[in-house]
Amino acid sequence: MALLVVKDLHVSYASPKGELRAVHGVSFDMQEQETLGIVGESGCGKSTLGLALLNLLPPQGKVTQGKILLDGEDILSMQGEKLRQVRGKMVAMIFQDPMTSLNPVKKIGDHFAEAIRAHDPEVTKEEALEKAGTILNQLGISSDRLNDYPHQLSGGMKQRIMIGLGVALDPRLLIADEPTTSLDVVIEAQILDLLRQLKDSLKLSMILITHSLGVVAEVADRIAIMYGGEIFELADVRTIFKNPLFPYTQLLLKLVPNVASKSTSLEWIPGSPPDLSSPIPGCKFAARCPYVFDRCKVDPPTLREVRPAHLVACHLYDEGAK
Amino acid sequence: MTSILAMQEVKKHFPVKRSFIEGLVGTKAKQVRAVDGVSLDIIEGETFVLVGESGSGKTTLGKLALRVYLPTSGKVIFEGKDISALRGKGLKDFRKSAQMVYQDPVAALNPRTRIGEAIGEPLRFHGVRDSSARRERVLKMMRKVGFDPAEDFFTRYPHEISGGQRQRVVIARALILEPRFVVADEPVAMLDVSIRAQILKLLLDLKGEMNLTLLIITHDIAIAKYFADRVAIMYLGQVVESASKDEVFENPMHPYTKALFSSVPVPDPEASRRRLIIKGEIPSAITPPPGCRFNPRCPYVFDRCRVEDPMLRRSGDGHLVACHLYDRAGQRAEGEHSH
Repeated sequence: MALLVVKDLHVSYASPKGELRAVHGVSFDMQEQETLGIVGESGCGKSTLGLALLNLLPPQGKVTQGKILLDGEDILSMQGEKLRQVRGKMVAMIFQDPMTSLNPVKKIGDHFAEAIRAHDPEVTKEEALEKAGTILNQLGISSDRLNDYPHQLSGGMKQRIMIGLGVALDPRLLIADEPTTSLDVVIEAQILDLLRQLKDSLKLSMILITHSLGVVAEVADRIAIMYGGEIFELADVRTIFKNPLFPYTQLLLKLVPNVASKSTSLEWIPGSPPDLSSPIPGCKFAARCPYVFDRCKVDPPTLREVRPAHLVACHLYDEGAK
Repeated sequence: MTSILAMQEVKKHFPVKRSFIEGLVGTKAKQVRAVDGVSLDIIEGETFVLVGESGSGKTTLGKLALRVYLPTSGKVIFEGKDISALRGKGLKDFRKSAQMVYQDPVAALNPRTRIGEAIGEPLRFHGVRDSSARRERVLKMMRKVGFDPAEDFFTRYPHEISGGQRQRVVIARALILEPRFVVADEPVAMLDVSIRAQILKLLLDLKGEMNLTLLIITHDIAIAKYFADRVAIMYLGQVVESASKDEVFENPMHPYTKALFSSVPVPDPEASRRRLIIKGEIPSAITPPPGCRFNPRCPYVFDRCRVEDPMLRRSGDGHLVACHLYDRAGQRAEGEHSH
């Protein structure tokens, strides 16, 4: 059975300009111990999707349609104690900015003790701290740091702590939202290395939400490309990089600077991402797509299997389109 | 090849605030050595890219180049003149010829000023009193940075345009006085990937069109790869390596440069994961390590590195590197070390 099934998920925010459709008909499955990379630019709905998976949307956000089944159970219908037990133990999240995610007046050890004891009040504080020490050692941090306050740690170390808190209750699915975006490259490489190790040693399934194709190329097994609130392409990592089908994916790969490549010319996509507060007829990428034709402007394409295990939402691959 | 901007042994130290008790007992105030002895030459007409991690002092260096800060010691020479000594008209002329493009286009623009006025403001400061003449020049500049039709955008507020457009406004404002030298501090760091290339390309096109010299400050090595003529790498207040772009990318010499290059995630799942991952993080600029500043993290460290600060020396064609591995004596020491 799939660990996670997302079916036709729609999420909207109430905004002064009206309803903002942040996520629009997203469906995918994830298997146990798989790492899925969700890639997109800001405003594409990737973080909203991540929050919805934990049933953690802010008050102005609402799931208007669809289902999220985590190990067969519908997380969107869960409430109170049940939901609290699922969060942390079953699925946990690492946020982008470690600076604002830790409580500045609490010691690192207290962060761990609080998380562990909230889920299991029988555990004493000493036991919780001992477990926290073991986790810190796994992350390459001395357990002496449990007595430190967040401001005494560097950015990279804070992000390690966030990862440690994420895995403290042995979740099966870890969602990491831009885990390395606020870090320098050298530290980013250290953290990506750590995530790869943890994924193997803890047998974790992971969803990595990022704007960086470089980051997903290093860690993910499969990649979903999001644009304007929808998944437009979904395939294994090699296929996405070697043989992308959706025009946005193709362009994205050409415009991402690659330090290892010989080429020194960059391409770009004219225009900017769509405004999701007004409904868009047709394909959301049509306005920027170099291959756009009449049908794209009126008929929104649906995500379907164009080649084995390679899903694309694009009219270019319709029967008889070319 | 004339130098437009030269730095000679420039240092900028900031005092750290002492606590009340420290003040009472007379503890000497500590210093953050943000820039600590940098010498470099920027050649007229080139794109010079300064690469460094946060805390390397790269932003402070950019501000020193524009006399936002005065150096603690050392000299900054712009077109033959020491900019610290400029006063009155000389200083005003310098301000006109050297401009800055800021990182964050949201913070750099007053939310209550229409973008046409924001772009025209430097003209007003520099004596263009006639508002219709100002408007003409602003519209011309707006067309240059890609606002079409410029008239429609002139009266808009910053919140009414996209992030990429806001960065175009910031660029237009920096270029309206037709400067000769522009410092762009992380000009695209706040923008989305699909917008970044457009903005960088725009900067380069304008550089050609307006005969600018560009100093781009960035943490993103890829920007150097695609846009630089020459590159300098900074670490903890010092330049550790500097060379032409091709030299730096084909033949990186300093261990830090190598580590930096191999840390960048490569968008290719089949790329080799063989990497030089360095341990630890950039140390504090208040108490930099003795000897070479990179020595505590360097995989090739040997005894001399811990005591003697390496000088930035020529090592091949215009390639400067500050590392004992490339000294004659250093190589010998290395050889002995490995035996």
